[in-house]
Amino acid sequence: MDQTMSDEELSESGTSWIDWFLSQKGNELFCAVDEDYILDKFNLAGLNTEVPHYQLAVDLITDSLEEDLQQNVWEIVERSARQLYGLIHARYVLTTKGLTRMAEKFKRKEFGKCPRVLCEDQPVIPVAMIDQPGVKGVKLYCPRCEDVYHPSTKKHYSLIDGAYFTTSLPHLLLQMFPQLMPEKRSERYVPKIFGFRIHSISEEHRKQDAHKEAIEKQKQMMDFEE
Amino acid sequence: MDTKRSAYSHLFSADSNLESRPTSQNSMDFNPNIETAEMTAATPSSYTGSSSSAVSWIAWHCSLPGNEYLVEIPECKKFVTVAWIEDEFNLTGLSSMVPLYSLAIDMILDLEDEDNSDNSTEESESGKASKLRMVESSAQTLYSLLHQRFIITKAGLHCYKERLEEVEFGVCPRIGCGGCPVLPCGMSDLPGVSGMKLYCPRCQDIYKPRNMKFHTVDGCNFGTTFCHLLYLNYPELVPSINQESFADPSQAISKYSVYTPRIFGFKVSLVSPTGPSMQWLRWKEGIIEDDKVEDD
Repeated sequence: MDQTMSDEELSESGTSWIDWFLSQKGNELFCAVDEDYILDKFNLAGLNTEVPHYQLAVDLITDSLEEDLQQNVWEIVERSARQLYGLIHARYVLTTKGLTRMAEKFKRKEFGKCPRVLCEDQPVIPVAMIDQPGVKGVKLYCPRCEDVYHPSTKKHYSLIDGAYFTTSLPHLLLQMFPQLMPEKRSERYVPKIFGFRIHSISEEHRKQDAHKEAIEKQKQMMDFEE
Repeated sequence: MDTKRSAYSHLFSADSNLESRPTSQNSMDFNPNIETAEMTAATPSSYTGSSSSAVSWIAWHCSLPGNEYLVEIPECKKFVTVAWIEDEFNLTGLSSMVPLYSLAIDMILDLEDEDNSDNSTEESESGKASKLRMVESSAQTLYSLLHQRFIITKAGLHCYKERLEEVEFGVCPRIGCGGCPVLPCGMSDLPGVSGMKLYCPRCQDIYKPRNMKFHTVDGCNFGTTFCHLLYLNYPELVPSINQESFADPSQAISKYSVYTPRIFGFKVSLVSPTGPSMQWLRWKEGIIEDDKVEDD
């Protein structure tokens, strides 16, 4: 991300920093965090040690930065603000309001589609592989095949930190809005040579089916216990 | 000869895609007066004449955007002994599948037809161009059918094996596959049914190519058989679930794993209506179920 925003630009455009941030290329996956949420200090507990110039960064996000900063300090604050917004975002998306916003984005297919052919362009949800920031990039979870995929390297958001979306987001989202759960399909791709199935692969498929039945039984037992 | 090539290049720039295939009605409008005898009559000396036009049709076709995954079927020019396309046996049955068959095969082989260029003075420029466009698109269809047949020969499989070892076709988008190289494949053996897909031998599933330019490539170029036949011929190219490097040791891949949905670190229950119910799809014998999913 090389774009930076100067004070003048901010005052001229009249938009808030958050709106500007969301409109940047590569930030399509983020949702808008309510300003009230950021202003409530309780929600930011513990974040002050995560980024340099914490207070200035909070001021920048909430558009209340009054001081004129030197160019080099400004750049650090700018970077801190982006990082801080991501960290706040990670907390916000697990709240009721945040989940609703993400569900809306999911319904509008703003996160992209599953690359698997049999999922037929099922919309995906961003997910992290690890909750610790700065370790792994964002991944995409497909609720139809229940698997995680790399975002296309062509997309700018493939470089965004996964921790800003948390490992729990897609699962919590579907728990909260079960109606968004797509219909599961048990069909699979069957490799064929001149129209004939392949012995070794069919055998693996039979083992998978046996495993599926075992899980079904386990599930019924758990249901019964309840 | 040069003029014909330049007439081609005019068409080439007009982005002649697979969609613009001529209907059978149009193909009846004019009568291709080339006999197969002419093909055999084309001597090497007449062929070398077209060397002035820098690239052969096949080389040009394979260099089009999106066609990078195709291979050039060796023609007589390069492999004197392997005149694969010129062997009539390899073309059996194709003549009924493509309109303007003999014109199309001549275009693929860069064979010039003298009669046609004489007659063309009487025809209008636009008529010539539309005819050329029709021949061009049926040549593309014919080439995809030929390509599908060629790549399942020993030479074709070997060529793709080498390209696969170089990881030319990209890697599986699925995280649990740990960057396993994929192969292009089709979902139908007939032209114009579905686009090219990518097959991952680890999860045995097919994916859409990420790059938009490959979305217009016909899956018929590869057919349904090719990738499975290749993996049967070269079983060492299928990475096992614990394998951590591909054919070339510098190409690192990580272990095969299955994703487990978790909320705040706790597994989502099987009983939950939104709980996991598709994990069997990626299950394999010998997999450690609670393995942390790794990527990159």
